[in-house]
Amino acid sequence: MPVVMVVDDSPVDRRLVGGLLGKSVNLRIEYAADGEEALQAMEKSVPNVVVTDLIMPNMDGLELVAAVVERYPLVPVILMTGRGSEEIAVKALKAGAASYVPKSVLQTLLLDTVENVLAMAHEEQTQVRLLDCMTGCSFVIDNEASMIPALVNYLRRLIRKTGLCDDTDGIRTCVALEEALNNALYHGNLELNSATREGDRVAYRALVEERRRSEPYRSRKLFVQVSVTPTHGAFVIRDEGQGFDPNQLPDPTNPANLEKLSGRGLLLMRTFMDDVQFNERGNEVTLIKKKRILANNGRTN
Amino acid sequence: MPTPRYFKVEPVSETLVFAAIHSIGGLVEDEARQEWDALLEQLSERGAKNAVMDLGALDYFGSIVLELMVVLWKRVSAQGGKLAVCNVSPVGLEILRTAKFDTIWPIVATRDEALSMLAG
Repeated sequence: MPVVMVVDDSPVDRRLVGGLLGKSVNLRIEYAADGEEALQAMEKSVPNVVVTDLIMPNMDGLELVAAVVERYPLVPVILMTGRGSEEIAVKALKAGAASYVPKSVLQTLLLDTVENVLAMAHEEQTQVRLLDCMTGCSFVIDNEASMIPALVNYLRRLIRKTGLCDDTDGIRTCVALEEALNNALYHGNLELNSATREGDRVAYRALVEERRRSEPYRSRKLFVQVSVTPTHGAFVIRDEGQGFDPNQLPDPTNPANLEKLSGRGLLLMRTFMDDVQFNERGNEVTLIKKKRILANNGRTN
Repeated sequence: MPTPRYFKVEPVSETLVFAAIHSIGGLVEDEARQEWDALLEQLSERGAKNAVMDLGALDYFGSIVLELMVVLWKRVSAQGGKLAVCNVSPVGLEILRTAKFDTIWPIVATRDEALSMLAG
């Protein structure tokens, strides 16, 4: 049975709201006298929805919205607002509140609002649970550069959700993935040589555009396969270009090469991933990320 | 010039400060290069000698931002100026060190420190 937590410092108003919601036999009501008390109770048991007054001592409704959004992003908060607090209600909605109900119309609107918000939250919670079961996915992408940041951001969320990486290591992983994807797009599918970039930059950009429009480059795709568990991530990125020999690349950290514009993508991939392997043709790279485990001495194994 | 999407430029005396507008983890390479090349023109337009690269808005960056910094460095070096880098995130610092750029560019904590260093 869904649990509604009613937060209000006035015992009379709490009873009033509890009575209105109690008309539904499908809801269980719990109470808290202010935002702090509500958060303490949520540490023990998380309700399905929070209905809160706006003005309360210790922690008001607006602060409670912010705290719940941060700590329990799947728990919706509905505000009860008094006359003249519309502006604060707008702030609360911007901060992540699911809805608000003016106190003057609680009797007619509150129960319907709670039921609607619960229905929407249930759908979202189910989606999230479903995504929690996902350990892999694959993508086939056109030569459109704007897809790469979108994909990297998606993978960043995926690896964070699975617990494979903490925030910092997740960022490192994203750096490596972005390099691999850009490498596959520009050097793989569009067959653009790094050396071209060292010359006329306007001409280089024109060449990128020309290749995007002309065959055989135009029809080529990027194939991305992702498999992520809480301890291991494998990312396979394949392009349809001619391939290359990674061993032929100059060392970008050699002082003689520091002024060169390119050649650092593979270095970053190797630095931030646990393993980077190319296939024989050089058009497919497999990047492996393993979960870092802290030893008793606090160092990473 | 179209409105910059990734970077902004602020003149401070003889120095131009190049700063990321917001976290651009995942910028679109072609757009970033085009925008950067246009911004670099301000070095000569404003008669600026030195440059500061302020990376404060970035959680992370990759080889494309490194490339843009090399282009900037080469431009200011060609006119006898210097480049300083500031406000670098922990991962950003790892990236600069990995690429060995910490051996050629001064990397300092704040923009003020970078500006004083170049002025001194």
